[in-house]
Parts: sequence; C-alpha cells; structure tokens
Amino acid sequence: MKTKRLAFNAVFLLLAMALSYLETLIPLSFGVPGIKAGLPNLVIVFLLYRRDLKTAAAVSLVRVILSGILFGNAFALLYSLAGASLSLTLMALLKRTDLFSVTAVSVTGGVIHNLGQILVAMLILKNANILWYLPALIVGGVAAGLLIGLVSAILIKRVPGKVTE
Amino acid sequence: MKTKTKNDILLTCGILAAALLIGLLLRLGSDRGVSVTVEAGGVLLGTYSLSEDLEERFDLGDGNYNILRISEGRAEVTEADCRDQICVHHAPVSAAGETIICLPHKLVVTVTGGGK
Repeated sequence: MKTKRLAFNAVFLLLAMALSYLETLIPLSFGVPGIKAGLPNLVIVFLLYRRDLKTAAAVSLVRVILSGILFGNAFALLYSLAGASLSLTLMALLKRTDLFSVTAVSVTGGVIHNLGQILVAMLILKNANILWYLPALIVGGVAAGLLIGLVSAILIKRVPGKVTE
Repeated sequence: MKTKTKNDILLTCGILAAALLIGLLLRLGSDRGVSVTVEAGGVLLGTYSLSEDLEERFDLGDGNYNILRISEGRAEVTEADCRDQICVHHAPVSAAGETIICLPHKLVVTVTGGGK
C-alpha cells in the first residue's frame, strides 16, 4: 500500500504547512522574539504517536524547509531546523520511556525547540548574551507545548490505532 | 495513568523552576548598564552612554537601517526596515548583558556594565 502511504504523508505535510502559514498570520509579541504556538507540532506529535518516528521526522523536515522558503528567510530556516530536530529527538526518547503522557512529551518538545534555536542563534551571532532570552523562551516553550499537548492528546484519543494499514 | 499525571506535573514544574533559576542568576549576576554597544555581523559600530539621550541611525548597506534611541537610561530600536520588526517591538533594555537583536540585519545592541 505504498500509494496510500504516500497520499497520507502528503496530507499530513499539507496540514502542517497550512498550520505553519496560519501561524505567520498571528503575530505574537511579548517583548521577546520568537514566541510562537508551534501549531505544526500538532501534526508532528500526532504522527509520533499514531504513525512512527520516521514519518514524523520526514514530515517535520520537509515542513520546516518548505515553510522556511515560503514564509521565512534563511536564518529562520536554520533556527527551525535545529529546533525541530532536537525537539523531535527528545520527544521520541521521552515517549519511549513511557513515564509521561502526551502533554508532558509535547511540553518538553516545546522547551527543547526553543533551546535548539537559541543555541543556533548564539553560534550565528557569536553573542552569548542571547542567553537573556532563555528564561522567557523556556516559559514560552512550556506554554506552547502545553497547548499543543492538550490538543494532541484529544486527537490521539479520538483516532485510536495506527493510521493507515 | 495516575503516575503519569504526577510525572507530567513534576517535569513541568522542574522545567519552570529551571527557567526561574536561570532568570534569577542572570539578574543577580549583572548590574545596571552603563553604556550600549552596537555591532553588525560582529563588527563594532559604536558605543554610547546610557546617561545621555540620543538617536542614532545605522546604515548597513543595501538600504538597510536601524535607528537606536537612548532615553531615560534605556535603549531601544525605534525604527528598522527589517522584515520581521522584532527589534522594534522589543522592550527597551537597561540591565548589563541585555540585548536587542535584529536577526535579518545581524545587528546586536548590547548593554554593558561599568565594572567589566
């Protein structure tokens, strides 16, 4: 059922892209740059639980690259790439321990996403003072992760069993 | 299920506590700012005292610019032609170590303390 799989992945990618775009339409400003709800992570967290890590990683990667080209710039793409890959890696690890629920996995993902971005920012700007943003970005990551986690938990409950096959 | 909820809460509180701790350490480890430095792409463009009000325009080539304003001991970017306008929306800075960053222009405004 290769075709079915392909179609499913495309639909999920499209969903993540649409959420990415939606997010660019809602500018949030809390005096600190980079605070976002991370709506595309809804799709990623869902895939992690209802498909597999491979699909989640593939969709996340293509989503980041495409939306970086379409809605962002080269720097934003680098930050997103670092954030998204670190965050997915940690979420997958945390999920495997089976000690936490979807919500906490997503919260960790949100925080690690921001940590990854700040690390890349420090490297690009060669400026350690960006650490000043860290507390606000951690709290922001928790808030965003909580939102995404709670919604994902509902989605995962409503769609039981693995998607496709 | 119950233990998972407990673990979730513990983890979340732990993360928030870490954020608080980092914030406190950063605040405690820094003093009131004395001046601000402006860099673009790692090149120093100027150092300005926070005690004197001023407005300075930085032309960065390709028509790109940022305008820095210092008033009442605080520095802020009031205008820029960058795409995201994050530096313009950034809250004014005054504590040593605080920064305003304009990523598209690679411009960094840093508050520096007197001691160091």
